[in-house]
Amino acid sequence: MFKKKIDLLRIGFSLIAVIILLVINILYEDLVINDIYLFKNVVILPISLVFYLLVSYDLYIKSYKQLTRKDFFNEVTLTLIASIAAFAIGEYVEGLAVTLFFQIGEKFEDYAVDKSRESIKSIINLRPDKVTLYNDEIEKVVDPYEVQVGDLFIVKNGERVPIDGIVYKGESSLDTSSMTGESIPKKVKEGQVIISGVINIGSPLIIKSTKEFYDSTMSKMLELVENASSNKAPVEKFITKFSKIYTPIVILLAFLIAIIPPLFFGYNDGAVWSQYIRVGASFLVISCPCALVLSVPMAYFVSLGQASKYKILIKGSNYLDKFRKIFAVVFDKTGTITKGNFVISEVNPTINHTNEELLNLVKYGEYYSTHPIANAILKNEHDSLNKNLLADYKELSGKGIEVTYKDKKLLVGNDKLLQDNDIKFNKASTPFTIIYCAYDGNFIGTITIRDEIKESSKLAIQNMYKNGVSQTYILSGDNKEIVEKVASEAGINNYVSNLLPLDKVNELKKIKDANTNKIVAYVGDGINDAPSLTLSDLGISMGVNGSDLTIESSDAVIMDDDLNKVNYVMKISKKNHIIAIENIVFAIGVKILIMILSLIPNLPITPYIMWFAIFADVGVTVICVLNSLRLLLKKY
Amino acid sequence: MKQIYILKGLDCANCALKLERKLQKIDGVESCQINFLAEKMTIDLNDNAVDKVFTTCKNFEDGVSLKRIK
Repeated sequence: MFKKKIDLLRIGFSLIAVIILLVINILYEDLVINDIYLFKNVVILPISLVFYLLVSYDLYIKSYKQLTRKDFFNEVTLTLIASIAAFAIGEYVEGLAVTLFFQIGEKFEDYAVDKSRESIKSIINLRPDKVTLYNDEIEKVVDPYEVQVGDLFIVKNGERVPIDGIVYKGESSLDTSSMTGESIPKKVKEGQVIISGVINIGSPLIIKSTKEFYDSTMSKMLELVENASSNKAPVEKFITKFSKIYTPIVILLAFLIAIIPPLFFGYNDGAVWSQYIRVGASFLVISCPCALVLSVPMAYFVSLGQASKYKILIKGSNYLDKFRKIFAVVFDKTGTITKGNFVISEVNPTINHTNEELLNLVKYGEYYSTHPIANAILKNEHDSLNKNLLADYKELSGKGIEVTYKDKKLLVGNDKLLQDNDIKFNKASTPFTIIYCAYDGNFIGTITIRDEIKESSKLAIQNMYKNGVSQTYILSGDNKEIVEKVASEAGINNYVSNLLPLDKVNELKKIKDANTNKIVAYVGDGINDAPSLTLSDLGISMGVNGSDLTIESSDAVIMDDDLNKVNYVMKISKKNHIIAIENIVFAIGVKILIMILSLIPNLPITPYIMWFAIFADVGVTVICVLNSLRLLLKKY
Repeated sequence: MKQIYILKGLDCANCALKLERKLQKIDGVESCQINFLAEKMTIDLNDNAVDKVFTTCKNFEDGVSLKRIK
């Protein structure tokens, strides 16, 4: 803190000195005092030198340290060489200005980097820095990384759960909105699973960890936000490569220009030497690649942070970049386009059976299932059923369930399931999900389940077309009537129905093959669609369902269930690309322009070329950084 | 073996790039990426390269600190 203040004072005073020196230098430069002494050498030189030492002594220390580490061409050393060159040719104020503005640029860069890091952190301020362990009933504060699987820890009112676990003791309510977007608090009691990232808003909970910190849901999420996988976008890769060749080439040119032409055009003429040394020094100042290597990644960093503000987590810059190029979007239906909240709308038993009989059989059939439909039928009635009556539970993918209930075979599922078992039944044809039930070889009846389309789906899909998406598809395991109805309501052009989970992947492959070299995105709710998320060019999962596989196979996660968020990212992606390109063109353009200008002798700006070079270095960096921060201003 | 570190104390984005290139050249380091803004280093390396990576980072600049998180 103290050091920072001293630094600011040093820079502040030197800046004032430079301005004053600049003015009097222009006014009295050619004034001769005492016959032989120039005003410049008597007054300007000593003052410049004092401030020069004041503002650059730490640069000399740094440069010396880098030299002992055999790093000869670092920015600090190059800047110092340029400043010494300026003093050597009698441009004292410029010599001071080169190091002064270098320092100002560094300070500004630090400030901007800190600010953008802070803004990202405040957007999703999830990372806990401590955990209160509660093994042996003694509270002990430790680093989250030290917590092992099976450790007990305590989470008090207002604290965030740092690690995935099971409630060991206590009852409380949790605010899960930051993880799931669900605003209604969730009640938990002993034995219930808790994902990290939620906030305890009730009484203290003692939780037994089931994962290590870095494997917990929240860490996985943070990893997405902080771009741990560091997948660089093409623009970033370009700039990384460019800077690798840019700096050495410009440094080489600087030395060649300072030495070679004077040898040919007047090696015994001091004026020629100072002319070319000045150009060389300008090149050295311009050789710093800071503006380039900071501004482009900064734009991506800010954009990814901006997306996370809207609860959209993106795995890397390259995925953010793909959003602006999405050509086709493939949707999962249930839970993505529709709400996924199934409701029983009709119960149709055959003549010999009652509603209660049918419902009771279906409940037993779905007892062990985790499918959303099972949740709709069973709600929380597991306790009222006697699971000892069940045996030999089998889930038949894409068909339904086969289980032994009271020693006889119970079938609950779709029409295919009953057909396979040669059971006679009446096939229903409606745009809703029908559950067929058969027991002991006899058809018992059907239950109709409804699922509604989300309010946001239609608008979201319209906006996708506006943002440049050409093709949309639904891939679903449901029958044609249901899928057709949902597709037409949501405004989706293509649909494929009656797909088994494996067929979905094949169908997606076909869509990809039909659109080679174009980005095909897949949007799903993460239940049973990990293969599709992986196969697509851009896998987007919606809602946090807590499964590691979903997070790992997705390229982006939308934490709540608003489909329109895809459009936000498409817009952020486009804006980000524009800013990144602006920064590159501006930074490279200005640098090259000033290099060319400095090579042309006797231009009106020639005496001030060092100042232009300083601008091409520090000024351009500042402008590019500010330009990147512009991304933060935009609201979606 | 893939490891992730929090890497603090680097001076500038270009320094991060230089360090990244240095680490990539170490025997036993398969790949290395440093995200300067996120202060993270993702590195894929053999066990016997770990010491070399640590000394390279420590000697690169004053005040560079490494903390393994994965």
